Amino acid sequence: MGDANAEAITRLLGEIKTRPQAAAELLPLVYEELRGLAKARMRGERGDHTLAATALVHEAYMRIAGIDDAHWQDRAHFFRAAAEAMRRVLIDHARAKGAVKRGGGERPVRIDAVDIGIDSDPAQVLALDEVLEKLKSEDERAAEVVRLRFFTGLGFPEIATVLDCSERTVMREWAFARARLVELLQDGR
Amino acid sequence: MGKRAKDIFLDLIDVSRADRPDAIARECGQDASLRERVEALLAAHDRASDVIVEPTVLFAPSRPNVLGPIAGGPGGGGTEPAADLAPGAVVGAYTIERVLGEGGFGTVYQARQDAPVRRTVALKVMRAGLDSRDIMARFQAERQALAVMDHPGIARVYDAGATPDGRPYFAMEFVDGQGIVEFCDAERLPIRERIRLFERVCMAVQHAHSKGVIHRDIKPSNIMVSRVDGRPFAKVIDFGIAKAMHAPLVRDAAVTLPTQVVGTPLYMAPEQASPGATDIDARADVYSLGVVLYEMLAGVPPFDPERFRGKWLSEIERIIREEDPPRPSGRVAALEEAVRARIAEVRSIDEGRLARALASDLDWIVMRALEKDRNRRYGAPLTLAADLRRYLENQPVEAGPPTASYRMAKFARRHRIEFAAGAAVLVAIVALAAGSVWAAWREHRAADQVRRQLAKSEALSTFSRDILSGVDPAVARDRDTTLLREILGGAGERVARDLGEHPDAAVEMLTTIGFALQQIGDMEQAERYYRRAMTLGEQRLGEDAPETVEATGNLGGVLAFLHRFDESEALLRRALEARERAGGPDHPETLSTLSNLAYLYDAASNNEAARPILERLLDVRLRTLGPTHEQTLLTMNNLANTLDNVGELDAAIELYERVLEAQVQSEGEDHPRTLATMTNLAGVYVKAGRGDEAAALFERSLAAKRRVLPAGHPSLLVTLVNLGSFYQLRGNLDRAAELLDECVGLARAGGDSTRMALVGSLNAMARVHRARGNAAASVDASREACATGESLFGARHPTMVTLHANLGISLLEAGQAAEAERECRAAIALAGETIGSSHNSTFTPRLTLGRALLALDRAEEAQSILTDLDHDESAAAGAGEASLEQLRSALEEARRRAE
Repeated sequence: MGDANAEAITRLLGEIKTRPQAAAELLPLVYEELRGLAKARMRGERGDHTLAATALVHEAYMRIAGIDDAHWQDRAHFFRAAAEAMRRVLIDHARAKGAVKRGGGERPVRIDAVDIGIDSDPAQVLALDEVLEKLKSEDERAAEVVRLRFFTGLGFPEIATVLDCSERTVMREWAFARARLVELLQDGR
Repeated sequence: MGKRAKDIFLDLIDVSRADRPDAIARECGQDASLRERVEALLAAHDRASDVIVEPTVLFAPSRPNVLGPIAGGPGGGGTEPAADLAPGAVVGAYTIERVLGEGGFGTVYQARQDAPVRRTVALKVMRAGLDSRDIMARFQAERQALAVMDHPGIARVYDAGATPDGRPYFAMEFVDGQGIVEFCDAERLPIRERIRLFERVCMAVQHAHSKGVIHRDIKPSNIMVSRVDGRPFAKVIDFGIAKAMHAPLVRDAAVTLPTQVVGTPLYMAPEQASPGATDIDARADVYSLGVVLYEMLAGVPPFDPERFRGKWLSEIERIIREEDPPRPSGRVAALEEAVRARIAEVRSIDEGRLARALASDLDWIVMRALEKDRNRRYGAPLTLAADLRRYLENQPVEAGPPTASYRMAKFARRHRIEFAAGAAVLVAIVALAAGSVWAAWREHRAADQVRRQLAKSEALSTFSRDILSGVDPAVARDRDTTLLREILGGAGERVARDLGEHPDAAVEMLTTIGFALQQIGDMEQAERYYRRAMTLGEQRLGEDAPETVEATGNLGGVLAFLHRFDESEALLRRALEARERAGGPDHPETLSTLSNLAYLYDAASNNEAARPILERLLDVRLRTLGPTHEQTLLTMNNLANTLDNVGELDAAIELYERVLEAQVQSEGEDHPRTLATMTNLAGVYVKAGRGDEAAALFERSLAAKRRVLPAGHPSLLVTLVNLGSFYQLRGNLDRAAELLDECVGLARAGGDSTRMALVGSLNAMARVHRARGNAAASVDASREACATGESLFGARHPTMVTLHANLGISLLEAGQAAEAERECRAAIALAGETIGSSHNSTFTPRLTLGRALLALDRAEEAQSILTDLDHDESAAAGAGEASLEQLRSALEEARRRAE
């Protein structure tokens, strides 16, 4: 993945204010970026091997925007796109891996977001995604909070900024989402 | 899911469990399904508290937290949460008087007890949501032990119970005072007084241990200090609490993550910092004491708390388990000027003296307490205290500098070059990984300060120790070396400018930089620095000065690596003589020079000269160091390689297997030395015809190297070449091509130090192309291999015999028989000049020449060449059955056509 990709992302982030559809064009590029980083990691080209999703997102972000001159509005768009892109990267990877590995499903699912990464158990990643989809159909915003938290590692204050709401709201959404996910994962309903 | 259920749920999660039924009834009224939804959500919420770790919140204690536990930060915890017991409230036998503070698990109150005795107690009330029954049960189990603890340095725990709403509490001896670090700073205690105070803390903890009680959560805020009769007096609080609070740590079931992370991660021992840590013993307290001591001395904890902020718990735990903290003196040196000044000030000492006071003895004592492996730590607080006592009395301390990385760095500095010949191909490459890289990375923020310090000669030791030590592959995973190169380059420039007055320091510094470059595989730069060091040493210190000799020996070693044998041999011989004169024949420095000399002879394919040197070395090392010492193993490895070269395969295999077993045991699978051994052993397996064992070992080593080494590292390339050639021989052409292609690409980009790998991979690639019937590509690869080999070895090197011969085969198969003839004749002529015209390397060019002549319709010439070859037993030695068959059929055809 070349720097051309990173440059294109930076350009789109700059255009979002004047050209709303730029936000939609962002996603595939961010996806490419994250997938590239994940691939580089897996080939052991850099860094450690935890391949934590959040670390990848932040690495991508650092590459794209640099930390000093990023505007928050840009960051918000980036992280929303990144959460979704990262989810896709993980799911794609889990599917690919799941196809050659054991069928999955027999292992209990833990939802400590802490450990989600490229090297997570594919069965767990897929199971988590399934319940996240369910949650999304019930409560869009709660699901968005979970995605940002799991796949970008943002803290509550940052999520509040990204979603343009109060921090308290984010924490409440999170508390609800978490209880609901536990229900869905453990009780299946 | 109804919107309403969600809202009611969110309103109720802060309500204590006891009050929930009423609240649910109030909110839901008669709506049974709504009620069911809310109850289910609340139940899930309670379970979720046990599922999801919330480290982000964990380290933001200023924020009220309804979602997970808050562990107190280093300062002692948050400010906000439910201090819901008002003064006058009664809890069991106690009447609340005021809030003392917020801790990790709840609130601590000052309370009064009236009966049976009248006293002031500290009442620690846990927050809602923890299972009080479990906690009580564990406390009862611990109670007997707590009761027999009787030490002035330990606060008593009187009682435990539950509040009416079900929250557990502990009643403890009320201790007025400040946390130990805070106290020491406020009172500006000098270093030695701090140590005396800490010594007494150790004795108190020792007392508890002798009664079978481990604290598990020692941190500055749990060691309260006040002045009693004018003397500082420390009391350890919360003994027995952590144990009782600790949920059984099982992680195997679906929903059992220990949310109740006991202990502030900053002070937590590595063995505590892992999921499912159950095997905790007294040495965990020794570690925590070490961290407290670190902070008391250096003013900051070993790990920067900022690094933990906002990190997931698993990442924090990983840091604690895996990262080696800097020594106190190094940590202080790396701090900002203003912070450092302040730290010195509250120790009533000036900055310069602070660094000196911490360096060596205190560094070592603290680092011994902080060893990751508890077997290397002080076994008990008592022995830690005893070593501190020795320090106070100016006795030599027991700690010394024997951490693994220190010893290895020392070892590596002494033993300049290791070798590992990839036996399957003609490649021998130093296989020491980029050991010092991680250390440099860790300290990179300190680079400026360190460079500044270089101006002073005393800082030299700090530099080389903190920046360039730690040849520990566990932490030297493939970090980017760019940064290290920059630091080294900067340091190199400084040497000339700032160390002009100190030629001895300058020479040593240049040598150290050269060594670091050598470690990361940049031999050309290493040569430059060694040469500068040697020249400077000769001019300013004399040829026999130890610094000069070291630079000379190192330069010799690197030149051997670069295959500049004559100059290398002269330098190494000179260094050897100087060292034999200075230290005798068995001196470690003498031995390491000998070892380099052996490497040189090996690299120069002079096995006859190498073998006796290695046998002498191995003898000394077995005698003085024992059979499993790193250096013994290294020598064994080298001797095995030589035995392999002279064809004593079984002896070589036996030695290699011994080495590998010992290395896997002591260094682990990923250690560069282990990997080198795998490569070597696999190569001999191949020669000995044990292909399956070889394949398994090759793949194992390749996987490990990809984990550890950067993509273009020479050692990784060797493995690629070896494995690629191996698969080519076994007929797995796809896998072979894949690996060799990768290697060719990396080696082309790698410059001089990877040229050998380039030759090897091209040569093997040519064979793959031939086997696939792609003759043109095969010719290209062979030509490039030849040209590269010539630039590397020179035109008259024996290796060129093989390279020309292989080019000949490629050309022949491409239908260019005339050119094939020329290459084969060149190979045969060269062999005649160098290794002899009956050497088994001549088999292939002679056979190929015969076949080329047949193709050119010169059957009579072919017949004569092939008949000679057929009668030349020594040339045919080692030729494979397929080659012999080829010879027979070519000879037959030549005879037929000649008639």
